Amino acid sequence: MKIIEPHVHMIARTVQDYERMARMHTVAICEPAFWAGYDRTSPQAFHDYFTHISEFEPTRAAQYLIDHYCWICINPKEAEDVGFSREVISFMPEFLNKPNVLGVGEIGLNKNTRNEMIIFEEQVELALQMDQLIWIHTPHLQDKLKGSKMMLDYLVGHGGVDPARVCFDHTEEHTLPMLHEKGFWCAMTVYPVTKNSPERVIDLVEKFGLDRMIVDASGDWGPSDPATLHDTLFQMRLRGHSDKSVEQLFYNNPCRFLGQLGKFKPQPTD
Amino acid sequence: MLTYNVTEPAIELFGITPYGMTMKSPKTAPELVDQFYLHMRSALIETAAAFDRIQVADAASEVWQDPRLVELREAALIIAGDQPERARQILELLSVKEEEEA
Ligand SMILES: [Zn+2]
Repeated sequence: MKIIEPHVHMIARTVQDYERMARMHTVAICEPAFWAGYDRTSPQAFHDYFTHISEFEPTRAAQYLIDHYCWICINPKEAEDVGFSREVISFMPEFLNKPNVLGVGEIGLNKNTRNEMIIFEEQVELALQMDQLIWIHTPHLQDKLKGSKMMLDYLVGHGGVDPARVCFDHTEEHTLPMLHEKGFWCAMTVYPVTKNSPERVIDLVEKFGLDRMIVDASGDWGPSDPATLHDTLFQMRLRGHSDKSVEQLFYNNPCRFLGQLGKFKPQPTD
Repeated sequence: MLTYNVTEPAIELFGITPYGMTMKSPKTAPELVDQFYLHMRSALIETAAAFDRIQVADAASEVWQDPRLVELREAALIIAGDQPERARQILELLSVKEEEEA
């Protein structure tokens, strides 16, 4: 069975992670643009970063027969300075037009501030103008519920956003139901301590079904591990689910969501 | 929120949950207890031990009413109760409330 990792920051990972993912049958991965652990000192630093994730990481991945795709945006943690953010947004289109860039992401909120929301909205508009998919980061811990509601209300109230082209990531028991009910894709991140465990992800799948559900490990510079995705696949099998259902969750679903623009090469098996 | 119970024949027939439907665990409750009991036991003991560790440390009285710890004691009551969706209830309890500033 082939696996897709829809969210991993390979810029922060070693080559051993590529090796391990290849051994665990991961055939394609997606790298959303995010915070590097420190605030960049100029918009140009984002240009360099976008070049790295859209040009260099694909060559590292290719050595392990993994297709590498990325998402481009100004992340919410660096979106507080509106003028700075707009400069970054001004050169996003040149990257969004590349054949391995899937859309605008991971945009979203961090501390749910007014400025973060302004930049979120402007990037949604850019995505709509350029007919792009949208990948959304929901805030951490105690801020997740409020921030998820703010973005949901905005997108539903907007009127021009097709929820089938938007995925909310890092969803949990308290945020997934309201997002899923409105027709959005929901990604569940398996991340030690601060997000979901493999067990809780399969609980959510049992409760809400397989439709519009995605799992990712969000490996980054923190205490994370791309293998938690595969731990979750194993948990699903331990819980007695069929191979077909497992394949739908870990391969066919991401193929369907990510493949909507025709750039993502892996094809669903069903 | 709309959910549907999938009938067992549907699962048998397609081996897969139709879109828009829930996917009941194929395991029975006794099987799930066997699978998860030690994990549940461990998680509760770890939390109890952390409370003990804090309580015997210097300046324990300063943090005993820390809102984070107060919320965790409330969370323990949610676990002990009979209402379902305990994880969701605890996550909501630990969230910034709508009217609060983030
Ligand atoms: Zn991320």
